[in-house]
Amino acid sequence: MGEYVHRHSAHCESGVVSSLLTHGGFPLSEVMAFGIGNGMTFAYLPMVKIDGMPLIAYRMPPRGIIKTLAKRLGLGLQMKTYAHPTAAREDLSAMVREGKLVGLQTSVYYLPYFPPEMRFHFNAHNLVVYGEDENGFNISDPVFEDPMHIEFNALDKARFARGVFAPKGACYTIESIPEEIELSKAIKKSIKHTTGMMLYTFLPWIGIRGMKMMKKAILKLPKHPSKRYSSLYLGHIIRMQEEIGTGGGGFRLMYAGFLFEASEVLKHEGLKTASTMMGEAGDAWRHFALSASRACRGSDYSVEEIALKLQETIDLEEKVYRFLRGLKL
Amino acid sequence: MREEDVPQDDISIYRGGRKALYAAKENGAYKVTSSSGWEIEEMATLQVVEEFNRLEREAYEGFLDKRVSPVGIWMNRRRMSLKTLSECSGYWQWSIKRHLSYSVFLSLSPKKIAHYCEVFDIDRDELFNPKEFL
Repeated sequence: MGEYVHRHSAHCESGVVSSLLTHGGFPLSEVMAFGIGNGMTFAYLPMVKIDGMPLIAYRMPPRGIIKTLAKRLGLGLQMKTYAHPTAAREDLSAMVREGKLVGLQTSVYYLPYFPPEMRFHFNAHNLVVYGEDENGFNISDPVFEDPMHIEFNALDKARFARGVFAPKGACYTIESIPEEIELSKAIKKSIKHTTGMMLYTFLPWIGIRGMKMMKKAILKLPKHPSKRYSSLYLGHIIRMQEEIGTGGGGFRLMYAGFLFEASEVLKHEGLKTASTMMGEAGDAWRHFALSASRACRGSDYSVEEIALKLQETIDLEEKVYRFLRGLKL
Repeated sequence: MREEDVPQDDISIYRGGRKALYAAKENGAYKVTSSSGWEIEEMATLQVVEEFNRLEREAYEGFLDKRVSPVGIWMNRRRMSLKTLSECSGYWQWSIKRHLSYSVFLSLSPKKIAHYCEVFDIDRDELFNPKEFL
């Protein structure tokens, strides 16, 4: 195995997996890892609160991408969690000395190199450890342009943060990659899975129905006694969509990239059309964010207008999924 | 989003860094591009940061009036909601609510004080004498 090459990615988890695989001798782009790992979804969970706001997710829960990807491609994935930071650190050192590339789950808040304004208690950030010196580890954080260095204590804190999605020192390595991988089969399976989830999940908070629920919640905002709440609520949606390493448009642009690459692997023109459609949906999400941002800015806004923008987005997305379901892959 | 539409608003919260965004090339393929940020993202983020700062200022004023305990200040300074602090400390939300009162805080056991110090990553002195928010 050659020298590790750091790559700048949009999303932490897909970026890490793509780096691990590429380094392990199976070059796979980030969008492919994201698509085959069934990274995309939509979930609106009003009963789960984050800082008083409903949980809104544009992607699957932490470690979902890597687990699904490992299953689809038949990778030998080793995943560990620890009870004590000391054991976790010693184990990590040992693995790095063996020349292994290790993926870690950490909190964002305790990573010192994050810009102060962007440090929140989000426990499902992923990064790669590729080296060690006397003070700490050399890490490659996929959402940063350049590799970083982190001191032992700081990393311990980030790995053992408490709260929702507590990482418990989680680390993972790819131990084996099969000789032959049928990429086309994995792609077909994952497209079927994602479109099915978006259209037909019986839970009303997931997929297209979840988006419609969010739209209803937006329309109800004026009834809330606090004006500040409405503004924070819309700001929260924007953050979940644009800030949390989404590659733009709540991961939709990444998925469009995946569909395009899939069309080349499967030699299927229909997927290219789907990619264009998904790209339009991603742009529509961004227009929706733009329209919702008027509320955070404090200028006049109407929830009807914001909801209308969201409805346009929902229509575009539903169309792509139906189109994809109709394709003979 | 096309390559030329990728926002380059040089937003302050990136501190000069860049984020990867996906944009379509001429032929429809997507590639990673470096963005210096979108002002919409900056606004939404600063809004939350400002909200925590506002709650911290409120807590500080309450602290000066001997109504609110330093826990209320440090909680917001560490960007924690009541729920987050409860998860990070292991204390129930209702007991943290009690600890937010100045008089109850003064009667807390040294063990609980030490635990709060650990959660906020500060020493006892810093906990008892929170400096004013800058």
